[in-house]
Amino acid sequence: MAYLYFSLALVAVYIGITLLLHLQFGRVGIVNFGVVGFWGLGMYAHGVFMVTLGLPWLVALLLATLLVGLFALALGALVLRLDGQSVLVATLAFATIVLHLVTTEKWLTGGVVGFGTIEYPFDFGAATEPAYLALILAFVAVVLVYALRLDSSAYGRLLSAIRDNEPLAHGLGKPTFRHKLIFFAVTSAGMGLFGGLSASLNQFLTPNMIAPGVTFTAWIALVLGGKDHPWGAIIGVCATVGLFDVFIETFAPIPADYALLVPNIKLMLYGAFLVVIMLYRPSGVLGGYGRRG
Amino acid sequence: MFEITGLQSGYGGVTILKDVALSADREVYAVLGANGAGKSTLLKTLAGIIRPTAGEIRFNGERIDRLPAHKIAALGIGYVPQENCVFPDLTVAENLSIGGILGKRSKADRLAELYDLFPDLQERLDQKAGSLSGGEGQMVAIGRALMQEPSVLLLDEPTAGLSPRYTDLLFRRVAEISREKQVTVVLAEQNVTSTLGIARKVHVLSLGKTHLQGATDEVSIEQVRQGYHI
Amino acid sequence: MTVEAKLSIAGLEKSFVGRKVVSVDRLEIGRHGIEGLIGPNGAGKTTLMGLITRKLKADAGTLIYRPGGTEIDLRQMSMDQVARAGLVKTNQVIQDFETLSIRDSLRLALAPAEREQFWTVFTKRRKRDAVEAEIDEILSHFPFENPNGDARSAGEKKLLDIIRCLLLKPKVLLMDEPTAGLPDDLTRAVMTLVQKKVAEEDLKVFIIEHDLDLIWDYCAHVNFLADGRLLCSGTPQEVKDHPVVVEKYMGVVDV
Ligand SMILES: Nc1ncnc2c1ncn2[C@@H]1O[C@H](COP(=O)(O)OP(=O)(O)OP(=O)(O)O)[C@@H](O)[C@H]1O
Ligand SMILES: Nc1ncnc2c1ncn2[C@@H]1O[C@H](COP(=O)(O)OP(=O)(O)OP(=O)(O)O)[C@@H](O)[C@H]1O
Ligand SMILES: [Mg+2]
Ligand SMILES: [Mg+2]
Repeated sequence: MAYLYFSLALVAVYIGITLLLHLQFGRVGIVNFGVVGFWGLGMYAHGVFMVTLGLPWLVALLLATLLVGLFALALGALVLRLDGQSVLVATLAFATIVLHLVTTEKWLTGGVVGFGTIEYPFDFGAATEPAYLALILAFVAVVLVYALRLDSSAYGRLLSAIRDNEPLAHGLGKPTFRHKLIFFAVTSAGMGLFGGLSASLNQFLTPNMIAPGVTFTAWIALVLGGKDHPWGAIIGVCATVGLFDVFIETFAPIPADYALLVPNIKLMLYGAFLVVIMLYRPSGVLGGYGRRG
Repeated sequence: MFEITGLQSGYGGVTILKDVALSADREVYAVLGANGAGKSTLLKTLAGIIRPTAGEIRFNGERIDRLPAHKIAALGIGYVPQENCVFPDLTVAENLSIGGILGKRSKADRLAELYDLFPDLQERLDQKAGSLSGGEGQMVAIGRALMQEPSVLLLDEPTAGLSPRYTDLLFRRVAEISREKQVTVVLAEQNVTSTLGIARKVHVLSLGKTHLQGATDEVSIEQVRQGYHI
Repeated sequence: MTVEAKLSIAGLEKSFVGRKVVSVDRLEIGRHGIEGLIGPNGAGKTTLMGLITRKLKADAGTLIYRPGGTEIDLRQMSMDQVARAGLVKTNQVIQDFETLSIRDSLRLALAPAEREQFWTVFTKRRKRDAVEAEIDEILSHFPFENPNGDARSAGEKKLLDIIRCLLLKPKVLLMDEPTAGLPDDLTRAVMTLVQKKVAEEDLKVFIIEHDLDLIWDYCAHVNFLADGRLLCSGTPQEVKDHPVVVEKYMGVVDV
């Protein structure tokens, strides 16, 4: 049962970061291929603040989020003026650097041996895991409500304008770069927050947890579900992580001999899903905003 | 010979043009109308950029309304769109060569003829088309189509952005190629008086429907203008 | 008494890959209500306006802007600051926001900065009747079939671009070929509205056009630019008959 809660919490975390990716890419057109970098930095920072520095759980979480936000601010200031490809490469490089440093800086992170133990913030006995799942879901709900409200708000309209035609919005007196930078920093900090939340979930951190696969999974889920809709992120994550990591791993009776194949088959099917979606519904299951002929 | 009957066309389920018919043969055929009347939609449909939902388009007797845009271009139908009409990352010379692939006479001859019309282009050959001024970009778009030596030329507001001098020269050239080279020109324009000056037939669209069509000599400018006030 | 110019330009220069595209010794804008700028294709008109709005950085020269009593050195400012200070430009090349409807696009222009912040998404929304009324008012001058729909044809987008800029309530409005692609009656409607605003509000207009009838009819003062230089300026009549203008720019008579 505990494992089911773990899997569901994992799905919730993925929904959180994919929603944030929807905000960045679907809303403003920022191509963030370093999702795992922000998430992983948040996770390790939370762990280090709690275990090494002995800070309380909540303080550690807030500091980790802040730290990731500052890194995103610095990275964004450097690259957000550039075109999409440069942003893609820069964020990907950022994630790679995070992974590299986590592996090599053994004194801080334990390197490949791993780092732990990061306790839950509370102990309710058997109710601990469900309570923690509820906590993560609460954060996901905040992001979801934000994403939904954006649709009809003045700020959301401004973001759409920046995505559609940044120079035009700039000429209308909107400080587009500043808006992009703040939005990128806050949403990336949000990814760091979900990383921090994942630390207690995993309890013991190893570098292989922050491999690029996390980024790709979030992207695949977003593109599958439809990048332009908050619900697209949720549908996409349920159809990928939800289907494989929860449904199949928990409920499908896979013989032990084949269990090792599951992750590989999973990746193959993700790819196949993606190809089919691209062929028949290029804007994702929920379709796009654009009505252009 | 260009013949269109019962044409219906639009964007993603929204019908814009309804039951448009026309025939143009080695003449300047003017398409006029208010903003949003459907002039560009008509030209895009003829060029194969969007597919008609009903009706027929015949070119020299052959149906072409099911052909993709590049096949239509290969038949000798040149198209100058109203927006995004140059390849911004290619140089002027490259933009012109793209049109040049299709023509029959030697490329140098055709280029010389073009520079005779737009001498400015010659000085801009190595510049990226995306950094040209509005009028220069328009000249490149027109030049690319002329380089194709088309037998049908679809021009969507070609004089927008051109100086008065070039506007006059372009109208003159258009009249000349239709007269001397027997080119059919379908010309969408806002410049009513000058257009009526060179067109043999005029077609006024209003809200996607034909408001008026006929020979220019038999149509008064008041009748044309009525099509704008609906 | 001469009216003080809203915008004073001196020694302004701009080169692209070694070619000097703008080289304007002196230009004062805002002494006359509506002022025109004409010149051949590639003369540097759009570039000149881009330098004024800070879309482009000048190589040399000064740009002084006087919105009220104060003097502002535009060289210190970014394009959005310039726009917020009341110096706005319409676009020659058609520009639009693909996913915004006509009304949303106009709401964007009217939205104050404090409502467009990250956290305002969570604050309570007030209905802004004044904004909607202002949008309805300006749209009533133009024949948009459905103001809640999208502007899709080239002319519709062009018109929307102009309306957006007017809603910003500029003090100096730079118009770059505003009416290319608009039919005559609409051109007149646009210019009549602009004229009305110039008469009633603190607005000066500087307008690039190749539609000479418009220039002669609406401008009190006209400048002629060729190869980046101001070759002559004066009343429409003076410019119309100037031999240089006739030689370099005017149409050829026999069509
Ligand atoms: N980024 C650039 N790089 C190189 N050349 C440029 C660039 N931008 C403009 N130019 C050149 O500068 C010249 C002036 O351009 P500009 O757009 O100011 O002309 P314009 O007077 O507005 O002409 P038009 O009436 O055709 O719009 C043109 O010859 C153009 O090719
Ligand atoms: N890509 C598109 N998607 C949806 N609707 C479109 C699209 N392009 C044009 N329309 C709509 O189709 C109608 C006709 O547009 P079209 O561009 O053909 O007008 P036009 O006569 O060329 O006008 P203009 O003089 O402004 O260029 C308009 O109502 C316009 O809003
Ligand atoms: Mg059009
Ligand atoms: Mg220009």
